Amino acid sequence: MAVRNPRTGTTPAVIHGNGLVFNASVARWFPWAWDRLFREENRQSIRLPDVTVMTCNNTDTPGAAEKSLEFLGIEHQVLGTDIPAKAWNNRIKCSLFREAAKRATTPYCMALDSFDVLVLPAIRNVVATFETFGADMVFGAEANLMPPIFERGVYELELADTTQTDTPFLNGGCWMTRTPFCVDFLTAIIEGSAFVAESTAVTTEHVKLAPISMRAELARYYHGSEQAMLRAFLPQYPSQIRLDTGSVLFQNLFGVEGPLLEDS
Amino acid sequence: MVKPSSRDAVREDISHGYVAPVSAHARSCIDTLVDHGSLQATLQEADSGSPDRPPLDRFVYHVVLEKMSLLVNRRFHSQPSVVRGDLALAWWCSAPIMKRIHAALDVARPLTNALPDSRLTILAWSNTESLETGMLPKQLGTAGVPHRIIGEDIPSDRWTGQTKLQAIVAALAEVRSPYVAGFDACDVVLLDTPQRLVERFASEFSCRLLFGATRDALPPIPGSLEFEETMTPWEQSPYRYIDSGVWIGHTDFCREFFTAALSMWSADHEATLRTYAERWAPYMNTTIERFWREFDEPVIRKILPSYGGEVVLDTRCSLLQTLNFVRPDDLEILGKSGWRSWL
Repeated sequence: MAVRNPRTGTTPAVIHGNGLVFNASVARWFPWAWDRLFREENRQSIRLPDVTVMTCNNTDTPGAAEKSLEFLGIEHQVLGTDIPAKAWNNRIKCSLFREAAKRATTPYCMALDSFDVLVLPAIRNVVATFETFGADMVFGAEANLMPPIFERGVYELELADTTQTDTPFLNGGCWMTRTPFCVDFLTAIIEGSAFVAESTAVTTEHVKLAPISMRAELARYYHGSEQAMLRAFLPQYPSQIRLDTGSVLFQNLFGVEGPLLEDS
Repeated sequence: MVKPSSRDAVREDISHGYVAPVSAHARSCIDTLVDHGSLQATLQEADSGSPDRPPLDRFVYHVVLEKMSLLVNRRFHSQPSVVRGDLALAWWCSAPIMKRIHAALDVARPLTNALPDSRLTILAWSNTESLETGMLPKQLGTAGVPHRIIGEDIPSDRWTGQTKLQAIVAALAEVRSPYVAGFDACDVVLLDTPQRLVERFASEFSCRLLFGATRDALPPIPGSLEFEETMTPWEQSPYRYIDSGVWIGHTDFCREFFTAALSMWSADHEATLRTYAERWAPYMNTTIERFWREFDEPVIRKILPSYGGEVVLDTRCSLLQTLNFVRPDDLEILGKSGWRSWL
């Protein structure tokens, strides 16, 4: 079973329904891919001896990532299971993934969101596909800048040819990396407290534009965004980090319009 | 910085003969601007105080603001009169575009300093909290354009598509003008005067009710979008889903239409929302039912096919422009387009 993006001609290994409830594209294509994957004839046992696959989930409910990984027989780690819901924010993921990467014995690590990610059989070729990027780390790319603080997205806009891609922005929900680089990169982020303070100030200003009833939720979300932190550090690694703006490995669905997936 | 004068002041100046002669420089500015040159650059040039470049006079502002649209949709070569920054805090394009439009409106204040038009009633819905930061009441209030706020007495936790429609239907019963426009108070801005809005709707559209069209369908209930997608294939226009946050129509027809839409909010509809929420349960760890209840689009979608050409979506953004997921090169603001121009 393979899913093809007819625009890019690629067969991505991971489908990310980021922003599940907010977007028609996600609402259409995520269930579409789900229904195709979970057919008994697709059940397999895929071995990825060179890749540590990890996700975070602190609930009792397995997410789509765990379900699809299980279905494909792929060994994986679920991190953060003991973190109480009230203590959770997405920035914790950086620490969890770093610690897991430190323990990893494989040359590569792959991090995936839990609830809105589907892993497809094309993952069996993930190492070879990753190497085509010529980078130490590859992030998925998406159509929307989130948090939507325009000035923060300028670097990505400069990198991408927006006439050629609908997905110029970093998405922190799916990435793959060489293990040593993963540890170094996440350490730089975790220790980047100056950025956190600055980011908090910027997002606080942005949140003031929102209706009062939305401000607390927006502030909590923006301030807890690990994506904002990953983005802030991108310019420091111009040759090591690539964004998958061509949906070679990771297909982010949010905000991508028109025909997007087809059976391969 | 040269400050634009109010329209009344322009009229007064003209009546006194102060600005009758138009300088060669002013004429050149007008030509440039009408060709969608940059108003801001021209203002800066005029501001530079060069002795052979006299400051723009009021007549120039008057002509410019009468002739030039602040916003051009390059995809369809249209000049929308109303813009909606739908969920402006969530979409990367919307927020900077709205900021830029506000800056442009600050320069072009006379554009909104309009006389009331007795043919049009403007309804703007908002509850008390979002009213505080509502763009439209602020703009209309500053410009002295009469409008009516509806739904302000509905607490946030009771705001649903149903209560919104109830407020619209109740307000429409009291509207006496032949035309009525409904806007989300929070994130809509007028780029033309009410007079021009009415004239454009009456002359450019043969429908009875015109809705904005957006690139994203909310809520994306499976099976509910087929009519819109059939009517407007994606290749024809990506702006193909109804945006009920911005509309204009004939008052008598709007009364009938929104009453019919409200009647569709039933136990069945609520069951559909619940079923859809459950459909997504395997993929997520939160409930979406409460969120979906805030939208009135699903019930409007149900009756759209019954009204044929009487109800139209502005899929070419001729009059109404929604910014949700807009692409950077689609829009030109004061002669500039693309994301770089928004920095």
